[in-house]
Amino acid sequence: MTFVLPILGVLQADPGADTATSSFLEQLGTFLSDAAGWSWGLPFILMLGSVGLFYTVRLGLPQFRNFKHAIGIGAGRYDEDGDPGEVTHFQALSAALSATVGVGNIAGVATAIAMGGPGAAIWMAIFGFFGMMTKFASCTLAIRYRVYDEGGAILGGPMESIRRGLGPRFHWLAGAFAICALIASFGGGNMVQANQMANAFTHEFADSFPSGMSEDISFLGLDTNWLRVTLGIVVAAIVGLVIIGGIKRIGHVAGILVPVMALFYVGGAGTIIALHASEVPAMLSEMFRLAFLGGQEQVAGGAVGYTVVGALTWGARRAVFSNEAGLGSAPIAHAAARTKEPIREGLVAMLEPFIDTIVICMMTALVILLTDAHVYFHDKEGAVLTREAFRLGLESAPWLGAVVVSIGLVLFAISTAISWSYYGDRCASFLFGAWAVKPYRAIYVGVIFLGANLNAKTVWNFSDVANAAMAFWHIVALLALTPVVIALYRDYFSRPQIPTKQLEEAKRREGGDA
Amino acid sequence: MSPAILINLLFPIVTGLILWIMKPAEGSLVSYDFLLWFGVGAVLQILASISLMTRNHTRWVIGWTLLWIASASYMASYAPAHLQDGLIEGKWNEVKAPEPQFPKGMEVSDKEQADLVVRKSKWKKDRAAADLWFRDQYKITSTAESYDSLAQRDLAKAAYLLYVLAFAFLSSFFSISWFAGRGRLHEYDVKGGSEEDPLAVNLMGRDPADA
Repeated sequence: MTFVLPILGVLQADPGADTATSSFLEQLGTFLSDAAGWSWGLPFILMLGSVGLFYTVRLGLPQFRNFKHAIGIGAGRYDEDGDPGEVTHFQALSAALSATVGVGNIAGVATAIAMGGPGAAIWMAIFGFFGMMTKFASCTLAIRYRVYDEGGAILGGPMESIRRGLGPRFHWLAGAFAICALIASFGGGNMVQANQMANAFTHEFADSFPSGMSEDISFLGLDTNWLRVTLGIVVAAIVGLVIIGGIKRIGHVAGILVPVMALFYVGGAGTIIALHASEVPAMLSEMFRLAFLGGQEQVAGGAVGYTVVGALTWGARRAVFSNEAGLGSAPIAHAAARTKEPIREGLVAMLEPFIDTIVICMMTALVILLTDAHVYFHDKEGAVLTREAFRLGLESAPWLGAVVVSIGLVLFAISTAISWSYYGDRCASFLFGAWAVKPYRAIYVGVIFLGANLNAKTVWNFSDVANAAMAFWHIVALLALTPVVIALYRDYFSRPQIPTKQLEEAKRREGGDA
Repeated sequence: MSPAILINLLFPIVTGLILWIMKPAEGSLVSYDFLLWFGVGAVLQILASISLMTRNHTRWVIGWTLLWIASASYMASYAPAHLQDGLIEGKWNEVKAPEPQFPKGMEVSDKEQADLVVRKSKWKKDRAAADLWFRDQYKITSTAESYDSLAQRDLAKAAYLLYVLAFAFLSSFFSISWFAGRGRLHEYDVKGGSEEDPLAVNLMGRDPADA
C-alpha cells in the first residue's frame, strides 16, 4: 500500500494543479499520451489490418462464404452433448461479446469521429471486417491448443497457442503475452469501463442526488466525490459476485445481459437513424469520401494523405479497442467452448467484430453524424458527445436519449468488466498456477473501484498502451501459425457439416432400418 | 534466395531511396530526428537477410534476433516523426476548429449556457495560440491565413513519411513471424520448435484427468 497509494494519487490528479508534483504529473500524462499515440500509430494499425487481410485472401473471404454456417453454430445447431468444454458456443460468444461490446461502442466511436473526422467511422467498419478473420484465426488456435490447468479449469488462448503451437523455444513469447494481457486486463476492460460509466452517470444524474454527493472530497488519497465512490463500490461488488463463479457463471450472466443491453442500445440508436432515414445514403457517401479522399479543403492543399491518416489511425484505434480483434483477449473466453472442432469456435468468434463494429459502432457513428452533434459539440468527445447526439436525435424527448446512453454505458461497462476478469485470471493461472486466480480476482475488483475515481485521459492512454503490448506478441504467433489454421480450415470443410438434429434423425432412421 | 530474404534485402534499400528522394524535412517543420533509428533498422535488416541466406541453426538465431532489433529500431524512428506530425496536426486542428455553438432550436439550461461561454473562451485562446505558433514557425508577420498552404504541405510530408516508416517496420515484423513458422524451423534445423501435427487429436478430446 505504501507504494500503491502515491501512484494512485499521481494517476488521478488533475495535471493542471499548481504544485511541485504537477510537472511530474504533466510529464506522466504527456508520456502516456505520446506512448499511446506512438504504439497505435500507422505501423501497428497496418500490422493488425494486414493480418486480417492476409487471412481473408488466403481463405477466400470466409466472412461471406461461411457467415450463415457461423450463425448456425452460434445458434447451437451443431452443439453435441459429449463435446469437451465448459460453456456452449452461444455462451462463449456472449461472454466474449460482453467483453467487446462496451464503452468502445459508445465513447470510442465518438472519440474516433471527434479526432479523425466522419471518415474514421468507415475505417472502423473496414477494420471490423478484416478483424473478423483475425479473430477467427486466434479463436481457432485457442481451441486447438487449449489444456486443463491444475484446478481442472480450461486454460487456452494465445499463451497456450504459442507454448504448444510454436514449441518450447518460444515459451518466453507466451510469457510476454500473458504478462501484457494480465496488465491490460486492468486497463481497457476494467478501469476505462468504470471510469467512463462514472463520468456519464455523474454528468447525467448528479442533479438527481443530494448536492453533497457531487462535492469534491478526498477518499483514500483520491480526489473524487461520494457519487463516484458509491458507484465504484456498487459496480465492484456486482462484478465481484459474478466473477467468483468463474467462466460458467460469467457465460450464464453474459448470455442474459448481452442480448438485453444490445437490444436496448441498438433500439435507441435504430429509432434515431429511422427518423433520419432519408439522409442516411448521402451521409454514408460523405463518410466514404472523407475516409478515402480526405476533406475538400485539404485536397486542394494536397494534404489528402494527412486527413486519410487521421481518419485511418483513429478509426482503426477505436475499432480495435472496441472489437479486440488481434489483441488476443477473446480467444481466452472462446477456449472454454464446448466443441471438438476448432474451426467451429473460430467461425462463431468471427461474428463478434461484425456485431460489435460493423453493426453497433456504425449505428453510434450514424447517430452522431446524422444529428450533427460532432459539429455543434466539436470540442467534446467520448460518451458525452454520444449522449448529446442521442439528445439531439430524440428531439421530442431529449432526456430519453441521454438515459439510453447512460444506462447503456452502465450495462456495457459492467458486462465488459465481468468478462475481462476471466482473461486476466487465465493469464494469472498460466503464469503462476491455479492458486493465483483468487488473489487476482480480489485485486481486479479493487481496481474497478479505483477506475471509477481516476483521471479519464490517463486511464484511456494506459489502456491503449497495454492493449498494444499484448497484441504485439499475439500477432507474431498468429502469423507464424498460419499453416495450422489453414490445415484445420481445409480439413473441416472437406467433411460434410450436418446439424446435430439432422444427424440424430439420420442415426435414428438407420437404427430403425436395421 | 527465398522471396522472404529478398524482401528483407530490398525493403530497407527501397524505403531509404524513397526518403532520399522525398527529403521530407527539407524546408519544412518536419525534422530529421527519425533518420538515425531508421538507418540502424535498415542496416540490421540487411544484415539479418545476409545471415539468413545460410540455412543452419546459428544463422537463424542471429538473423531472427537482428530482425527483432530492426523492428524495434523502425518503431523508434517512427516516434519522433509521429510526435512531430502530432504537434503540427494539433495546432492545425486548433486553427481550423469551428466556434462552439448550440444546435438551432435546442432548448438549453442555464448550466449549459454557462458551459458554452467557457467553451467559447477556451476556443478563442487555443486558436490565438495556434495562430501565433504557425506565424512564429514560418517567420510570418503579415496575414493570419498566409501560412495555410505551408502548413498543409508539411502535414502532407509528415503523413507520407509516416507511411514509409510504417511499411519499413511491417517488412521486418512480418519476417519475424515468417521465420518462426514450422516450415522455416525445419529448413534451418532449429531445435525446440513444435513437433505437433496440426490435425492431431486435441487434448481436449480426452478426460480432464488424462490431459
